[in-house]
Amino acid sequence: MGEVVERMKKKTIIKPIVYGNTTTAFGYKRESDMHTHQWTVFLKPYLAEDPTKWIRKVQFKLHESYANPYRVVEKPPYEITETGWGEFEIQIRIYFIDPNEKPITAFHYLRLFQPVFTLPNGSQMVSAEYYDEIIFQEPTVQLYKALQAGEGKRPDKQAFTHDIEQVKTRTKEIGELAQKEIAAEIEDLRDALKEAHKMIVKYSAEISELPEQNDQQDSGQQTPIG
Amino acid sequence: MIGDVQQILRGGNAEKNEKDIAKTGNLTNPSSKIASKSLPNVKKPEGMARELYNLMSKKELSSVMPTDMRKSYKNPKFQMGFRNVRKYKWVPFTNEARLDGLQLFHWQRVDKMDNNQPYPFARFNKVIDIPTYTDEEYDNMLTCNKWSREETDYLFDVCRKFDIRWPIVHDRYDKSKFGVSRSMEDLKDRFYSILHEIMTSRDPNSTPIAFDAEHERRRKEQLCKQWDRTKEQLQEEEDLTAELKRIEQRRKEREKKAHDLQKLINMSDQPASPSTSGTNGNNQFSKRKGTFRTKTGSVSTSSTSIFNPLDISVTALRFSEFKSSGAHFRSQEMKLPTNIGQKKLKNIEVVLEKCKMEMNPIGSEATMKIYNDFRSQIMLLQELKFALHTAEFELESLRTRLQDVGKDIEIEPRMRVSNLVEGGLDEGSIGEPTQPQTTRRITSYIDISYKDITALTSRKRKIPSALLTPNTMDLKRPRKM
Repeated sequence: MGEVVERMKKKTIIKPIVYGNTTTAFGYKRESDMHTHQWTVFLKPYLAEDPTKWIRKVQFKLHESYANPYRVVEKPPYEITETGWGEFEIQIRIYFIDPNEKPITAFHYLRLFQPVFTLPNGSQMVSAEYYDEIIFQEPTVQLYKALQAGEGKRPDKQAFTHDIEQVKTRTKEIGELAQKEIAAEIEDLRDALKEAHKMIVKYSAEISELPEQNDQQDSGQQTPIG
Repeated sequence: MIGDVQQILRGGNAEKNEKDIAKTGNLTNPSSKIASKSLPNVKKPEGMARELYNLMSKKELSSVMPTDMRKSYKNPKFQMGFRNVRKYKWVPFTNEARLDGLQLFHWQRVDKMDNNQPYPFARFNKVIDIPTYTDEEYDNMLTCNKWSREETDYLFDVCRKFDIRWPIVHDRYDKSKFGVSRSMEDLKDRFYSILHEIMTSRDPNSTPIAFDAEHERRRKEQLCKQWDRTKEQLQEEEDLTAELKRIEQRRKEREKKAHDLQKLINMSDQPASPSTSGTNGNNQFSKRKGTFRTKTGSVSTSSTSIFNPLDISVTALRFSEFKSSGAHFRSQEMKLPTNIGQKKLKNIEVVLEKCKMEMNPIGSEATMKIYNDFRSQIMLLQELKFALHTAEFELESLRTRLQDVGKDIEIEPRMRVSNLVEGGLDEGSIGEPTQPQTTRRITSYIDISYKDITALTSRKRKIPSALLTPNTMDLKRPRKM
């Protein structure tokens, strides 16, 4: 237990991933269990690479009403297909090759109804995809090597229904626009506040220069407030 | 009905019976019915504890009535002495303090009659030595056109007679004798001024005697006035004192707020510190840490107007830093602090929604930076809006006070946030120097009516809560936000 784990000092490796789910509706309510949808929850590396080099297994924890809710997938594709009638939060825990590196957990809220996505062939499906990045800070030496071995440099576009690069750009643009707007407003308010403050200082001084008046005014002013 | 009447009648009979029995002295064995009727008539015996009496009230009294009352009234309170009584005698005595030689008598113990001791109370007769003035002295120094020589002599006589006990002197002073009415102060004034003259002329080193008659008159007048105050006047005085206290307090608060405002302005004015944007993954965390450190707590007085959103962002929101080694998701770096408070969260949610942004954006690095900064900016904007709101009301109150002295000031439209409509201002009402420079669209979505708005930041930035939590006293008019 007391074994010292050797880590790569000052090294940080980032592995982008995508998790989410796709859903297709039956179009009817199944008599046997009232289920209405079939869904698949998944976790994929964003870049085209072999994830087994650094992922040991992925564990999905479904809603407790499912038979054995903990589902473990040891090799890609890391996904679970099930049927159901309701949305719930799925816990996705990723275990790494080196057991000294603690597993990390993502939460995905299973989507059954939206966002609807139209496939090139015209059929519709619900597809929720969430881009995230795993940041390995000072990974263990073993894991570091494994992470480096991953050859993926290019996004695996075919793997996803959404154009994630576009989503990234759009999110960034909207955000930057909003930032600009809020920065201007902050500037505006701050300047107004500065001026207001100058006025307060000035007129407060003016009022305090009339000490007798001041008192009278004060008491006169008090009355309406009660 | 008839039953009731019967009962009443029987009751009357019973009472009669009881009286009969009482007359015959057969109280020791009355019938139970009669006993119960007779109960209310029995008085609580003297010296019996009430509690004890109450215990017996429902029972047959005669059997528990104490019969031996000797202890309560037969025991004498005092102890008789056993010695013989000493003999006293009614004898004449001389009181050395008397000058008129009046012969008085008193009782004296026989065994103490022989010794020739002076009358023991004579020593209490203290005679005050009041100096006399000669004719020459009077003519040289003491003449006064308000006082004749005769009256002055009379005054000294009376003073000597009553040992300068002024109330008595004043009371006994015969005002009709010289046809002038003299107040106590007049008497004192004349007496002490003469005394002073005599003393200083005879011994220049003696302590001077001074009596300020005017002061004394005023003092008494004041006392009379104070005594004569009516209930209403007293009440009014109390009210005024309370009012004064309030005013003082408000003045202090105002000063404090102005001070805090200055602080806040300085804070958002702080010179830009190195921003993290543009730094790449590897050294990002150490750099970020650096900015945190430079920021915390320091209040710069410089007024560089370069606005650095990140600089303020760190003051407002503190996102998880993930300094230790291990793996984590980028999205975790965007998680809002858990102690942020519902109201702030609500503001963030609303603004994000109105800006078409997401509550849980994708976990790319750029997004993380933008969102973290943006949400901190929302917090700063919220603080600024609040501060400006406070300032606006402050100005409003100053204006009211200045208007009372006949001076009006103009509060520029840009200093007003209280009447900001949701969705911001029209383009037409912005841009002029005294007008807001922006539509304040985002500002308009921020709700500052909550008390806990700055709960998180005030702790870190030491902005006194006085500035940040609205005091209902300060708000001159009902706010609707």
